[in-house]
Amino acid sequence: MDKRFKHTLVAFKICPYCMKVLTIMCHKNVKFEIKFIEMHNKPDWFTKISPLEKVPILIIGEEVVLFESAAIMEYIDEITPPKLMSDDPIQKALDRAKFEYSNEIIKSLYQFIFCTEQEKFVKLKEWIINRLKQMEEWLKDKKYLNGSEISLVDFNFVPVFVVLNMLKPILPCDMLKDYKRVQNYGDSLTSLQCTKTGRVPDYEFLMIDGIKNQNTVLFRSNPCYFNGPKPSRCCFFSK
Amino acid sequence: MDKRFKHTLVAHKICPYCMKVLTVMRHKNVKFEIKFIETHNKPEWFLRISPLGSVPILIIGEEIVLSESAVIMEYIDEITPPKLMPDDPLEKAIDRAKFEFSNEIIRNLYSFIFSTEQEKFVRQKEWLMKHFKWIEEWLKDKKYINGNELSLVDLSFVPLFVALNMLKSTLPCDMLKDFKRLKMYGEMITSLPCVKTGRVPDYEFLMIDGIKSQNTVLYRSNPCYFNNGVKPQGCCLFRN
Repeated sequence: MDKRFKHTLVAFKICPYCMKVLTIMCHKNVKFEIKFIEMHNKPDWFTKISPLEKVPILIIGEEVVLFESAAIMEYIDEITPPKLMSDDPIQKALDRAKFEYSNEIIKSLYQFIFCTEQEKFVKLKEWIINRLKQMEEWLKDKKYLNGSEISLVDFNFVPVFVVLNMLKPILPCDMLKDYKRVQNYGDSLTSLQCTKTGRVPDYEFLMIDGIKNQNTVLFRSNPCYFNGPKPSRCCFFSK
Repeated sequence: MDKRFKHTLVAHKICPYCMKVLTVMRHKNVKFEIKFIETHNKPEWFLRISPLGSVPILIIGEEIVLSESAVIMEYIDEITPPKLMPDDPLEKAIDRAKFEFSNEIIRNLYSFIFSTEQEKFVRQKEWLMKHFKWIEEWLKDKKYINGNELSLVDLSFVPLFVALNMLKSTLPCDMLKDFKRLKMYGEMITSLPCVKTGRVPDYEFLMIDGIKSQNTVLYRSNPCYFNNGVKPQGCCLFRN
């Protein structure tokens, strides 16, 4: 294979931004290699090429390094027509703003999952639910964010629903229970072929392991789950 | 004027991301109105329309709301040809990544400026130096990041140099002293007409006021400057 076009994705196994890129690369059938590195033990070769020392990075050929999940996703979309991103400047801008919005939800969701303080945990939960409310409004009666066809912006929300699905057996209540459109949207996204093929196989295991060994509120509120069966109720969620 | 095309920028006076957008709009001669709001007292109408409650937002016509500085900048660039952004997908991706890099370094710099803890102050300074090294590398022997011509990504770095210029009189040492290319680049960027016209008039005043009133490390390390305008001779925090 022409080495100039070799794509190597560098990722952490549980990184949701890497998951976004993985998903789009699988959807678009891009040939690539993947290199997993440790979050807390980044190799020297990585810090030398990644300006912000973050993942994901996409190495193209031997030298070109792209970073930022949104930039990588748009690049992949552009080199594999037909594009999933609109050509209209306003539509593009509205979609790009939602890329960043999805990043904020994902950041908060991860903070919620790995939170060790109860007060902060409750605040994060409220913030996330307000964002789900906003999304319920955006979706209206559409299948995807921009209508009946999937667009690039939808792939940004894949990690949100992968995580919410993972949380379902852990939480006694469904965070999406009041948001039917968001639920349906999430089901559409998680049932996409690329969402399944674009997943790191031990993702859930590593997440559950992290929740347990970081003595999180989630773990403390139902240690039985992490050691045994699904909880029937949880005082943090009584409303 | 056709209300459908009215552009209203909503901003905070010292927000560097708003400064980026202002600079591009001036450079491209876009007609717009500007509405300043308070960071700590955001009005209801704003919170209703800004998805994450952050600035800048660009209101187009009566209803369309764009958020995120990089997004707004690219939009403005596209509706005012010739574009400053390249067409090649790879170059575009590299530049877009640098937009985010500029956000990080600016976030870093503002954390540094308004830091109240000495340890954090020193750490932020080290991070900044690391980031400066990267830009120094990218510049090589070029006038702008992508060569001889200005591109959109250069305008993303404007707030970095505006803030560093403001700091010059506050600090005893020049943070860019080991970065010759970066210094020259900064001088060129800050001498662009759009950088002068795209500035909030009381930016420096509000920044200095903030540094002082928040009892920052910067203030504590040279109160004389902030009270009398005297440039400090030496500062133990900057011994290297």
